Parts: sequence; C-alpha cells; structure tokens
Amino acid sequence: MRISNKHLLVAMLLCLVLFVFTMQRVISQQTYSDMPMNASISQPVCITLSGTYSQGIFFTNTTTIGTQYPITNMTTWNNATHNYKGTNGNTWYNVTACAGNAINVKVAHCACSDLVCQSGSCTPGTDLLYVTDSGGLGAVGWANHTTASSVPHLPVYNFSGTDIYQQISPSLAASSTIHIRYWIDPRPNNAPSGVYRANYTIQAVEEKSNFGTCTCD
Amino acid sequence: MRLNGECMNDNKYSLIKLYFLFFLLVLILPFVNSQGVGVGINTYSIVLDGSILDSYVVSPKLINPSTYEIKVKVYFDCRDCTTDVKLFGHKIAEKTIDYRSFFTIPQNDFTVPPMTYGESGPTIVIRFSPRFILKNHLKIYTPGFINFFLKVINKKYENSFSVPYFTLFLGERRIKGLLVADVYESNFGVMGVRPSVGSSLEMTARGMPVSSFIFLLILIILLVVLILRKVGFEPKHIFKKRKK
Repeated sequence: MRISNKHLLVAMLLCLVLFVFTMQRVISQQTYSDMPMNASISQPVCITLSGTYSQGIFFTNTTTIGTQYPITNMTTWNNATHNYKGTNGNTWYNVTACAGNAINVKVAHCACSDLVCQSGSCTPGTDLLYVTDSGGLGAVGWANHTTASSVPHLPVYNFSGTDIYQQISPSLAASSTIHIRYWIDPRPNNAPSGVYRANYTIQAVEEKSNFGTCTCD
Repeated sequence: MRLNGECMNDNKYSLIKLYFLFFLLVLILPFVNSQGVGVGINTYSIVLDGSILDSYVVSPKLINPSTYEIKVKVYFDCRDCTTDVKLFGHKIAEKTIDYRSFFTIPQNDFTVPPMTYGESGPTIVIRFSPRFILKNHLKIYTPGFINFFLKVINKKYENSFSVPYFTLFLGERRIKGLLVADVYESNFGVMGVRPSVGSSLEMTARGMPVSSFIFLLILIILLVVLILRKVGFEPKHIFKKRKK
C-alpha cells in the first residue's frame, strides 16, 4: 500500500500540532511539581482617612476658616477649610494606619491633574490653576506632622507634579496618624473667576515597597 | 409642696437631659472628624512562583476599617511590563507584556461591608496559570509628518496605535507591581479623596528553556524526515507531478 503525498502532509501537520500541545508537558521546568501551592500571605496594609479628609480639600480665602468662600487674594497662601478646626485649632486632615497593621506603611498623595475650570467665568476644561510651582508664582502647598498640634502653619512642600504620588509619610506605625495642612497660592494670578476642581487620591503601601501609578479613572 | 416638688423634679430631669445631650455631643464630635473612609488588604506582599505546568490560586482578602460600606476596584498595577523600543537612540515604540498571560484577577469589583477584618473580608482571587503563548502589545508612535494626515481621517488619533502580537513563552519572566485596592464609592457620601492601598506583587514564571525548545525542534524534524524516508516520499515526486 503506497501512502500519497497528501496523507504525508496531513501526518506532518498532525505531528506539528501534537508537538505544540505536548511540548510544555514534556520539557517545561517543573521546579514546583511536588509543591504546586506557593504564596506569601502575611500582614495587612490598611489605612483610614479622617471624615473631613474623605470629603475633600476645599480652599477658602485667607481669613475664613471652616466655611468655603471664594478666594480673592491671588498672591498669598489661602487655607483649606479644615486646616484649623476644633478647640485646639488643629488640622482635621489626617490619615491613620489601622491598628491591625503589623508593618509600617508609607503614605502618598497625588493630584490627578491641575485644578481645571468647572463653571463660572472661566472656560470649562481649559482654564487651569496649577498645583506645581514655577518661579515662585504659586502652587498648592502642604505641610505635615505626626502630631496634630505641630503641623507647620505655612507650606513646607508644593505638589511635585500631576499624576505622580508624592510621599506624605515615610513610615507610619499601626494606630499612628499623619496630620496635614493644605494651602493654595493660585497660579496664574490672573486666573478668571470660577470653580476649579481636581481629583485627588491617597495611597498606602508597605514602607519598603514602591508606590504605584497614580490613576484617577 | 407637691407642685414645687414636681417642678424641682422637672428641673432635675431637664438638667440630666442637658448633661446627656452634652455628653452625646462630646461623644459624637470627635467622630465628625475621625470617621472617614478606609481600606486595606490582609497582606502587604504576594509572591507568585511557578512554571507553565503550574496552576494555583492565591486569595488575599479585603479589609474595611471604617463604619461605611465601600465599593472597591481591585487591579494589578504593573511596574515593568512596558519597555521602550528604540531605534538609533530614538524611542519608536513601546512593548507591553500582558500580565494576564501569567495570572488573572477574575473579579475586580467588590462591595465591602463596614468593619470587615480578617477572614470575613471578600476574597480577591489571583489565578496563576502561565500560558505557553504570551500576548503582547506594541504601541507604535507615528512621526509628526504622518500624524497630520492620520488626524484628517480620525480626529481622535493620539499619535500612536497599538498592535497585539503573540510569542512563545521561552525562558524565565519576572514581573513586579502592586495589587491595588482603590475605593471609588461609599455610603459615606460624596468622596473628595479616594483612598487606596497597594500590596506588592512579585511573579516569577518559567516557560520552556530555549535549549530544550531547539533540541525538541531538531528532534521533531529528524523524526519527520525519517518517517518520510521510510514511506518512500521524495520531494522530487511533487515537482515531477507538477511538471506533468
């Protein structure tokens, strides 16, 4: 019985298909064949924001604290509404590492964009208030401390950019809290009247890990 | 006297009520500040290690330390999945490996009840099961002089386009990144700040060694040639038939 070329070609093709399907079973490195489960599940990483912080950061004019009023002084630091609250005048913006954490966490914040015009006389989506500084003309600034009463009364840092996590606490032990104050010195100074808005996120990771990509979608 | 007594009792009760209200206010006031939204993962580190034969599941759990229900989006934020493709020092494209060729997170959306800790938290399933054929994406950046014409055709064109392509999983592949749990909604109310936590995820997957692949390929070719010779097949026959 003579086998035709067509049959041979089919046989070759079958060989190849068989080869592809069996290849991984035959020669792959089976390092963990006797131990197929391999996972490292250890201590939790967990944070809680204060209620005020969860609501957001609302900037008000230089003198009024607690309630949001339109900013009129464009060449100075304007407070966030809850920078000084309560009987002690402490900030109400804080992040606490959960009591159940067995490891220290580091915490970062990120502005997803500059503050973009939402409504008013400004052009929505076009007019901006920059979160970063350029030539000392203004930015969104912040200061932090692990003790509420010791948070500086003027910005120590500005936002380093948009879509970038900027560290606000390098190491936060379980049940410890980082307190923050925020200010805005609007840039540009001639920004048209209106409501400006930016999304904002907080991320916590184990202190030796790197922060992720800041995404706000 | 009775009336007076009743009056005194009323005063006493109103004073108690006042104290009680003040006590409640003192109790509630700190919570106005401290009760916010929180989130957690019950592990800060996840290690996936194995070969293309392995298939297993790692299941960390979500934590909700707050008194509000939260909705959490879980995703893998890969740190080294994307590499630049350069030509004469100029970046012309970006090569991105699809981590889903190695492991998947079937469910991404979770609702976590208030005060959820430990085993009671929803489980994030990470299924490690590397495939032999890997999916990649090549994002090609088109030069400026072409972009103009492409934008005439498609106004939303973003100066680049992505092409998927497939490769065999040969050798070893390591991926590092974060498993992120991001709160996007809560019954707290309108959230101005979104909290998220990241658990570091390191994966090492071993595919087929290149040497084994070459060896097997040679073996198969030799086997096919042998079979062909055994059955009397000669390539000349094909050409002769065609000529006829």
